[in-house]
Amino acid sequence: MIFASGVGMTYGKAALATRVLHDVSIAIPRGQLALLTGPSGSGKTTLISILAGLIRPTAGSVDVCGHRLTSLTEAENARVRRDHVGFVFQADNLFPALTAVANVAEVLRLRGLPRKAAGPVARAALARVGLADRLEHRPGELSGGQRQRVAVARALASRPSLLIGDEITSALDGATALEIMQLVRAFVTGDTAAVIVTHDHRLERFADRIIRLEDGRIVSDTSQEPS
Amino acid sequence: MIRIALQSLFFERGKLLAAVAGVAFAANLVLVQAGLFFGFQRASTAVITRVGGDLWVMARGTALVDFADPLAPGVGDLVRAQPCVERARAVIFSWASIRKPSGGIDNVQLIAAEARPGGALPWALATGLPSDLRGPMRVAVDAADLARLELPASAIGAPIELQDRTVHVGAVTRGIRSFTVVPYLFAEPHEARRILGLADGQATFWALDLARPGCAPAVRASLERHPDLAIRDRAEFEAMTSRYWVIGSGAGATLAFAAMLGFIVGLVVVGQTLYSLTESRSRELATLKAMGASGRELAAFVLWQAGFLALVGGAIGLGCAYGLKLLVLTIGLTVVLDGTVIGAGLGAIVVMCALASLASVRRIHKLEAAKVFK
Repeated sequence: MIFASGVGMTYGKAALATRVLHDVSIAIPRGQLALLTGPSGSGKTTLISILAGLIRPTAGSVDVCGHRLTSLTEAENARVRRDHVGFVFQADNLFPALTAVANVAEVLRLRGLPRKAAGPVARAALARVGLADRLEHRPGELSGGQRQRVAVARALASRPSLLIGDEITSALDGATALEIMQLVRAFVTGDTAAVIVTHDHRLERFADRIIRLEDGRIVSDTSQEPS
Repeated sequence: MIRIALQSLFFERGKLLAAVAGVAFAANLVLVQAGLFFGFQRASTAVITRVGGDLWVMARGTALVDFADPLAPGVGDLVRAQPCVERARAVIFSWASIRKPSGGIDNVQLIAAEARPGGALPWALATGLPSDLRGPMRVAVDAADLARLELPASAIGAPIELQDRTVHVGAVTRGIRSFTVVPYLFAEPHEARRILGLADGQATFWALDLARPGCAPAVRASLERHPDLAIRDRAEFEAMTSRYWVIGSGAGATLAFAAMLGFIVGLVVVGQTLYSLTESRSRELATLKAMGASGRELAAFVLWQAGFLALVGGAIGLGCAYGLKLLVLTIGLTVVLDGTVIGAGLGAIVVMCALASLASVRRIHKLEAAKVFK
């Protein structure tokens, strides 16, 4: 699913150059939920941005769902993200003017689903995350946990192969955070995978694997049976 | 994207109202100023247009219809003798002075012309008929000039001291005003000659109707051999007259400046609003970019909003322009809002909104999808 080899990232040039990733190599196969942990400044956000194809590393190569992102143009990279990757972020990043169902449906439309099909698919996705009774609510009328569930529904509605998340529970209370992680866990099957950046140790029990970064290097990579 | 764009626009009603008001203001100003410009053009050349004719014969050195010496009495025979001239119609256009009932004096322009079929002078009669001017010493005056000439509201039959002669109002027109707002008085050619002391057959201009338009150069060349005559085709003479008044007086530049000001104000208001809306939604737009939305799809967010503002603001501005048109008509000003003016004005508004969206489109183009992870 994800193969990163010898990935390095340096910001700036010459004397001002700052190296934030050093020769990182990881492989995340289908069926795996991996947590990317580490202290602030360890390079987690940079690494996940590279794995998502949002920024290009200064060294190494990245393959996602059979596409070598580091060899593709920006437009081709966007096409891979559109077709294969779902995103959930720390903030829900929902359009405040749109209802929950419209927020999900409009992303499906961008992903090429016809208008008539997008509505029912969006409703079904929201029902799966327990928001069947909040379809016509705007983000301002939902709680933080409900908004994050809408964001999860938006990410998963198009049935991507890979889910990438960044601190997706950091703004949520404990119970809601666990509910969100259960949704992510349920997403990961034999055909899909997820990589989640987190500081939240409560989430570790959901993971198949915990990768720890420090100073731009992988310092530990532990596989486990999720509980 | 249209749904995201328009609902985001409606969600921020304060910004929406400000932007619609900005576009409406700009559309109104552009349309009214352009309409006034064409109104001034029409006012300055209305008599030439109404009289018609293929060629106009005038005293050499004449630059516009309002300032011309009368031609010699024999010119009528000369022009009628030209081959290909089907009809030569006398046009009298002269300054005259009136003494008002209060004792003051004022200038007017006395106009008379031998009518072509369907082109009787004056037109737009509010009271009276063209035949009412056939009586001795009858003139038509515009309703908007009654107060200035100290005439009663029911002016028919009222006396006017014109060129030290007493004439009477035979008809009242509505909306026929000169560019300079000097009152136009219309009379029959025979009566106008009497009032102005011109000889029989004398005129300020001769409007020539040709048997064939193709013989105009030959007629022109033949008449221009006469050292006292100048010949212009009608469109050329209209252009000379309108250029003298509308451009030469600075009115055109003033109108263009006001229209440009409206355009710039609208541009700034709409540009600022679109940019602010884009900026406030930049995180959500970056999210869409991360999810694979193309630059073109994201630009549609701004372009739909700009299109909506152009449509709604333009429609409101057009409605306001029609209201102003009716309002300024009461003070004798004409705002031309024909298909050309509306098309050009609304086209300018579309261009304005497109220009206003450029900064926002650029902002979207530069959005970093990775921003969503920061």
